[in-house]
Amino acid sequence: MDQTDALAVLGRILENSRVAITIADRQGKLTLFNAAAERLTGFRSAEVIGRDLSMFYPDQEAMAAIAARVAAEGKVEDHETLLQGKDGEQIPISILVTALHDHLGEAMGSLGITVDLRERRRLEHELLRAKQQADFYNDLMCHDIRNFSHTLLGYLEMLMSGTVGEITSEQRRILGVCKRQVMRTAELIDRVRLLATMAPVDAETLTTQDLGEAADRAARAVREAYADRAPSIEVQLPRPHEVRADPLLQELLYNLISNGVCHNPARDAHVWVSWRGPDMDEAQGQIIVEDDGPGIPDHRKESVFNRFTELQASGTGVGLSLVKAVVKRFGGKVWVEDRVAGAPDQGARFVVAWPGASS
Amino acid sequence: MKGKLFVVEDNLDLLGLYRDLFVQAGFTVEAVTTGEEALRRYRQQADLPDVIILDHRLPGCTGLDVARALLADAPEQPIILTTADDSVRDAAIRVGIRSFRQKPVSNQALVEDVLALTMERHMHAWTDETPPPM
Repeated sequence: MDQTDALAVLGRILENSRVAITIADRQGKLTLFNAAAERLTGFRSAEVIGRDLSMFYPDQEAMAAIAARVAAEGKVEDHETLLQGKDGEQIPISILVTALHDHLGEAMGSLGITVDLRERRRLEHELLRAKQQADFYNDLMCHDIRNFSHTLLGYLEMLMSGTVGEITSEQRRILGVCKRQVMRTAELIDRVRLLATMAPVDAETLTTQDLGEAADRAARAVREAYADRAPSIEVQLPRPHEVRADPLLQELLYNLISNGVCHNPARDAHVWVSWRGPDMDEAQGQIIVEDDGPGIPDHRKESVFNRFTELQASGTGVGLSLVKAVVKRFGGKVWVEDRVAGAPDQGARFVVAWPGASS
Repeated sequence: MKGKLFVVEDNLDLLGLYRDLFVQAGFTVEAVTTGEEALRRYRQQADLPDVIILDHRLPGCTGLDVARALLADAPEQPIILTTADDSVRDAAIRVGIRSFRQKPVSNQALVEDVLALTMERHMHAWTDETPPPM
C-alpha cells in the first residue's frame, strides 16, 4: 500500500467511524471533523472547520486543563466532560486527546476521539432505578410481610392456645397448618434475601466449620419447623469432622434436609445425612443427604436446582436454588441421584462436593 | 395484675395483638404509635412501665433513636426491640436494649421475655427499696 492508498484508507476509516474524531491545529482551530462528530454535535463539518475547538466546551476551565495536560503529558485519556451541541444540549462525553507531531517532532496540533456517553448514562440511570426498585421490594418483603406474619402468627397461636375459646382437635390441626405456612413465609423471605445478596467467596474467607455440629443444628431446626409431624432425621457423620466453609453451611444443610421432609407426604419422613469419601480419584469427600420421599424422576434431576422449578411441587421454589448457590459459592458441585439406583420413586440422594469439604 | 407494659408500634393490628395477649396475661397495656408520642407519654408517667415493647421502624424515626432517648432518661428501663430487620441486632445490644426479637415472634417467646424482664425489675425494686412482700 503506497502513501496515497494509505491516506484513502485512513479517510474511509475516519468517515465510517462510529466515534467522533476531530483534529485541531496548534492554535486550536478545527481542521478535521468526521461524520460521527457531525452526528454528535449537529454541526456540519463546513460550519466548524477553521473555528476554535472551545466552541464545543461550555466549561472553558476544564478545556484549558485538558489542553495543558496534553501539552505536558502528550495525552489525556478517558476524560469525562460536557460537550455543547448545535441545539444547546450539553452532551456527556468521554474524550481522548493526543498531541500530534510532524516528522521532525514539532507540535502540529491535537487529535480528539470523543465517545457519546448519553446511552451509557441512560443505562446507568436505568440500572440505578432498577436497583432502587429491587431494594424497595426487598425491603417491602422483609419488613411488611414479616410484620403481617407476626400479627397472623400471634392470633393463630392465641386461637390454638384455647384462651379465647375451646377448639376441636380438627380445628387445632387446621390452625397448625396455617401457622406452619406463616412461618414458611418468613423463611422464604430470608432465603430470597440470601439469594439476592449472596456474594462469591475465595478460599481465604472460608473458615473451619464442624460438619457434624452444623448438621445437628440444621436437623434440630427442621424438626422444630415440622413439629406437627414426626420426621426422622439421622445424622451419621464422623465426629469431629472439620470442613472449610462458612456459616452458610448450616443453611445449605437445612435446605437439603427440609427438602427431604417437605416433599414427603408421609408423616414420618426419613432423612439421612452422611459422609462419603474422601473419593481418591477426586481427592474430595461428599456430603450425602438421602430421603425416602417420592424421589425425583430423571428428567427433573437437573432442573430441580433451578429457581422456582419446585413450585410445581409443595416447596417454596427457592430451597434447592439456594443450595446450588451456596455450594457454587464454596466452589463445589451438587447433584441428585436415586437413593436406590434405577428406582427414582424410592427417594432422592443429594450429593454435595466441594474442594473444601475434605477434612 | 402482673405489671405494666408500654407498647410502641405503628401497625395497629399488631398493636391490637399485643394488647389482647398481654391484657390476657394480666398486664396493663399502654400503647402509642409514634416515637415522638412514646417519648412524650413516657416522660409524663409517674409510674414507669415494667417493660417497653418497641418497634424499630416507626414513622419519622427508628426504634433505636427512641431507645437511646428513653435510656438516657432511665438507663435501667427494660426494652424489647421487635423488628423485621435482623441487621440492627448488634446496634440494639450496644444501645442497651435488653432483648431483641426478629418478627415474626411467637407469643410464647414474647410473653416469656416480658415476664422475665418484669420479674427482674420487681426483684431489683425489692432489693433496692423495700423487702419483698411475704
